[in-house]
Amino acid sequence: MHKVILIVDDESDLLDVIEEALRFSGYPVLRAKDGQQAWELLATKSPGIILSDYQMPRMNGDQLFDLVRRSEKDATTPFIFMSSTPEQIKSTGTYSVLRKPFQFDTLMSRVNAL
Amino acid sequence: MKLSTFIISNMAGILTEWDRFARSLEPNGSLSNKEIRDHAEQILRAIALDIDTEQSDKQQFEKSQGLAAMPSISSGASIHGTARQSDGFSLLQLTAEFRALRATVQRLWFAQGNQVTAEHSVDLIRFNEAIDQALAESVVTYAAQATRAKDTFLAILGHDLRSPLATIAMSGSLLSQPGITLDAVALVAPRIKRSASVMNSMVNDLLEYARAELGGEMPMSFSDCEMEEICQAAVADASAVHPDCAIVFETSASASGCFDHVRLQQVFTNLLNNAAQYRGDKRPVTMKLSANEREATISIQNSGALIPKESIDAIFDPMVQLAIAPDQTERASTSLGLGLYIAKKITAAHTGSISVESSDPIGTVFTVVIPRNR
Repeated sequence: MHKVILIVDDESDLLDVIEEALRFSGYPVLRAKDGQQAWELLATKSPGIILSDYQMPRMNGDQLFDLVRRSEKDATTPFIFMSSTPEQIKSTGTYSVLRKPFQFDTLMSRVNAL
Repeated sequence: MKLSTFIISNMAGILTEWDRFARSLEPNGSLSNKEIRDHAEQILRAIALDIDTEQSDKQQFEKSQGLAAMPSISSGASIHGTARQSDGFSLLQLTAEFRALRATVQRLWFAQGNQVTAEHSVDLIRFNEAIDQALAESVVTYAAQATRAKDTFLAILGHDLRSPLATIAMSGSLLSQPGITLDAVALVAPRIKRSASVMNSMVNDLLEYARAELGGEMPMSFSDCEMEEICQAAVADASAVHPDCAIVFETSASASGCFDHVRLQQVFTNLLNNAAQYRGDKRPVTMKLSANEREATISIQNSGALIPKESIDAIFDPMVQLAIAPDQTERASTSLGLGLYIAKKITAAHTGSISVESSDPIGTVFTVVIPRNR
């Protein structure tokens, strides 16, 4: 049984393509266009993996990660940042990073390993 | 009269000379009188105070070696350096302002019949030291501001150019998977096309910017063409990038003329992309073309959040990104802050003009006026 993956990105085209790739590989997907929408979604949903962009309007990946890690429900959910500039990530805690741009095989090997 | 007293009591005359010289250097011709004068009075008062302040030999030596303690970044000279960098002044022009200030004060002082006595010669030395110190403070903040602008630009470039690239890379590798469905192909293909279009627009902007910064002239290719066709091509380009945005094109006259149609299409596509990006309330973007015998006028209007008044003056400077409304959920994904800068260069190459108004209830309107004949 595949884990549900929450994908968060303000680039709607990339969000669409990642969703298509994950569904193609059998993963159920939840999607949000920024950290704020993701956080609102997490009030009622419990994904098995969170795959999030870093730079987003309203609430960036950094803020979303902090909220997730301080929450009771999702504190240990695997969190992957997708970023073209991972050196800018300031978050402290357990997460991994997928540097943009990335390929289908890279994405799948990362989520399959979790 | 002591030089410090002269500076304070002749402040108005010195500042008038400053205004005249700074105006002659101004790159964009858009600074207000207040911006031209900037912190000149504050700098002059600090210089007058410095002349009158006791100084030990050690302090004088340190100042001459550039080792004097820099004042806080809120000094007039420090703020001046930052402001001039933002206004597009070059480092040479910043230096020239201080050279002119030095010459002006001394010329006006001698013109009042002041002679160089032993006391006055000390004043003059202290004056020159103070000017050098103010210049050093301005140069430090000018350089820091230039570095900040460069870092910001590179960060935006790194992020914004890689975003559509990420879509293309992911799409290409997904499409090469065995068993991929036709539905998936139909979903992915237009996203590849759109991302390539966004990247192409960014690369074009970057090339124009690099060419302008390297001092090269923008190559132009004028030919007889119809402005309506150029506008419609730009609408098609922008619609490909913003398929969810309705772009209404209205024309009231034929406007054939001698234009560089590729460059003008770049201008209008940039303006339409901006208008679609910042429309906020999802209302349509309107493009209007009108013409008389001499010129064609193209306006592009959206009804999104207004551009703050303080941002309007700098909006055609390079590396300026429009402020995003707090409720806006879309980030500017097609702008490196170069589009309007390049639009101004291209309209200028047509001996035309570009302007912007942003006010209720009309919204934001960019107006481009292009002469029909060269």
